[in-house]
Amino acid sequence: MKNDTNKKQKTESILAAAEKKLTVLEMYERQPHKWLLYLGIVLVVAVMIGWSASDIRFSGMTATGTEVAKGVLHGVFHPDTNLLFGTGDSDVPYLLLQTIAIAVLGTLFGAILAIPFAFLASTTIMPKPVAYIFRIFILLIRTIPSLVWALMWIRVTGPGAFCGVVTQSVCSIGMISKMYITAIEDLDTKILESLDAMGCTPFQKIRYGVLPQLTASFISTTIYRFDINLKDATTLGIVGAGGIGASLMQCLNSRRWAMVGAFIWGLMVLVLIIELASTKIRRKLARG
Amino acid sequence: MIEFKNVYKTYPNGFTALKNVNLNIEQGEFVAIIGLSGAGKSTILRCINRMHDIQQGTLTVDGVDVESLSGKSLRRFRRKVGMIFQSFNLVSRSTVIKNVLTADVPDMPFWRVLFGIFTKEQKMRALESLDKVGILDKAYTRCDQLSGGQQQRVALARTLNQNPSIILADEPVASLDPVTARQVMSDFVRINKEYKITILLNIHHVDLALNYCDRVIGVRAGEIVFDGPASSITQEQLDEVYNGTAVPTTEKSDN
Amino acid sequence: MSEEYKAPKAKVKLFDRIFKPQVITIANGHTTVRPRSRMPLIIIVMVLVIAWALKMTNFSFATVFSRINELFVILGKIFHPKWSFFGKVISPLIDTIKMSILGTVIGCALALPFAVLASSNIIHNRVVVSVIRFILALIRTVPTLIIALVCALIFSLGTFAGTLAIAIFTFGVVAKMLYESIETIDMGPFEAMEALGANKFQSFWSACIPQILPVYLSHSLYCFEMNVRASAILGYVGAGGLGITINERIGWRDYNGLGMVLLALFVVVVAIEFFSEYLRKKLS
Repeated sequence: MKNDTNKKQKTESILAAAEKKLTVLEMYERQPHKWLLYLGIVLVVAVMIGWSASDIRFSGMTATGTEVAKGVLHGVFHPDTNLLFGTGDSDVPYLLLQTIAIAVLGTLFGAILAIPFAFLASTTIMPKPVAYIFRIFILLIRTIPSLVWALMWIRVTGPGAFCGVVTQSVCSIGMISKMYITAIEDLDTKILESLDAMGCTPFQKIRYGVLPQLTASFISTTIYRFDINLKDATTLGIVGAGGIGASLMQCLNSRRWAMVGAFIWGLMVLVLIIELASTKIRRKLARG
Repeated sequence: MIEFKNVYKTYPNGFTALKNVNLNIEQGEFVAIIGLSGAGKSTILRCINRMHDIQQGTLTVDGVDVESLSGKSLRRFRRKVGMIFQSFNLVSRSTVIKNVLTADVPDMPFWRVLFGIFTKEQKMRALESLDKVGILDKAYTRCDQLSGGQQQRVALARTLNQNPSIILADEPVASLDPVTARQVMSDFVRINKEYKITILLNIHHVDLALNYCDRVIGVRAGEIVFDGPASSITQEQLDEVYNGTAVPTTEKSDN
Repeated sequence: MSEEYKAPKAKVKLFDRIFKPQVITIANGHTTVRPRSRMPLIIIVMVLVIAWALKMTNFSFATVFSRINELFVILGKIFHPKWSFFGKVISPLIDTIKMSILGTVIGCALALPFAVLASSNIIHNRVVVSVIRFILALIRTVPTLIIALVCALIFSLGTFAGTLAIAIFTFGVVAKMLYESIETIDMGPFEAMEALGANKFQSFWSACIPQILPVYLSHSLYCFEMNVRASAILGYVGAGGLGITINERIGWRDYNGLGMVLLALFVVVVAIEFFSEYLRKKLS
């Protein structure tokens, strides 16, 4: 709004100037001076960088730093093939499948749990105060880091993949409901008008006017989140919540580089495939 | 038969959209309502199926006082009155046939509505409605892959599928190009003649109204200033409807 | 004599070849084809996948419901933060913010040139574009926490390792978002510049950069938001910041103290989110 009036004033002053037949020089002197603003922004950014760099010092490499760097690289190029293609409980394929299972269930439960939250927190359906209370609640869930959630859930479920599933179910609620809310608030309400003209009851209007519009974007959101959850599931193992992360950490700490390499390869291939597939499916959902 | 008797309509913001409107429309007529934007064209249509309330006067459709209807009786009444919109109002992510089938929804039991279960007979009837507007081959395509004219035909098929005796069309061709607009107008003519459905439509394009409709009603500032056969309207009368401004034609108003 | 033109046949999808579409004839003899619904197949696959996943993870609703009170005990303590702990939160909190600022700045600065090189509408060499995109994709596959751990092992524990991990992560993400946006910019001004005799770089600089810059800043701010959240846990693997404190509190089962840490994080995250959302709205 403010921008518009500013623009209007500017165009008006230019028009006025044109009427008075100002010379080119006078017009030149009227050019807006924005360099002060730019200088200000640059200064603020520079001060911020300076301030944040003040405490972060490069303290050189650790005694074993070079060895670690070399080891990781060596591992990546010479992975332990027995581990990479083995079929046992601690081999890469099994752990990857377990990671996928955690992400599938975590995303599914999260997507279902997010539905009531999204409806309760969307301003087009609920009164504003109620909607904002639920938004703050969603924000609270989102702020607790996933590792902290995992450490809390371990007390309920014990360590293992089970813990990973419940952790992801809760962690996914935040982002999924945020995207659901956008979908709900972007609903095309004109279709409701024509269902009204046809003589539909409110329930019939929701079933045939609202639901068909929401399902596609809800599914798309869920698939997107699955992509993220899969990456997250790989790190949850660090606190004992199953998946490939735990074994990777152990190998890193005990410096078994060939095994590290095998895990990294498995991880990369899996994440790349899932990312490609999810992008493709979502594009299809959007274009039909 | 639709009958307006001394109808007045004032919006909540205090704007009086209809002033002492008197109209008689017989079953099977094909009527165009012309006038400037804001003259009250839409309001007339929307009062007929009670999307809007009137403040004074009586409005009867087939002998029923529209203002006396509410809840269930209103919904049952609306089954007989189809409505077409400028922006088609389709669920663009659903297939064509699913959109047409929604016309059956108000008459179905709760559980079938919930799970979206339609009988074979309903589906065949929906396909026949699509055939009537000539887009049977698009039945299982998603609506967002159709052109504007095809989407308006889906909307028309949806309305036909509720088997109405009256169709109200609010600017049905305003967002279509001139050629498609003519095709959709001739669809309306055919449906009017073949199924004896009363059709009332609002339209910007005077030449389309004069070419395709039997009767023209001119509205200016909420009052009816012309009502007669399309063939009898004169340039002076058109000028009066449009407050003396230039008469818009399809070609001019489309750029 | 010219041969009659034969239009290529529309491609039939594998699914429609296995499950042949149904032909429906209506009363007046007209016909239409209905492709078979994919829903049954999708539902069967989904049910099988879910059943497999439930078995794989030993998931049990019974355990969740019977032992959920354990979680609420902890959550109850978290919602009664130990205020006296506030003094000990400030220093690591500031470390976390500093790590995210510097990491974001470094990552974003590196991302711009690589994003340009990965945009197919600006670089017409397909090999360069796909090689750079592949490298970016590889970087994004490695979890931040693993990068942080490797950095901590190489460069000793502390904020430097965290900053580096954030920079690498930011680089991957921002570069990807950016090249996707660059590919949607209007190339008209670029052609106009070339037409009036400017060289490629001049045209790019004066026609494309003004379009890219707002998007670039917006992506950077968005990434900064994510980084503040993410950097809070990097300390868990020894990369400095709030994570160390969080790890410590959980280790000692001091959930009231943990509540204080999380409350401080919450306030900072909300403040930054509001600020960045406001700036991003201004940019668009």
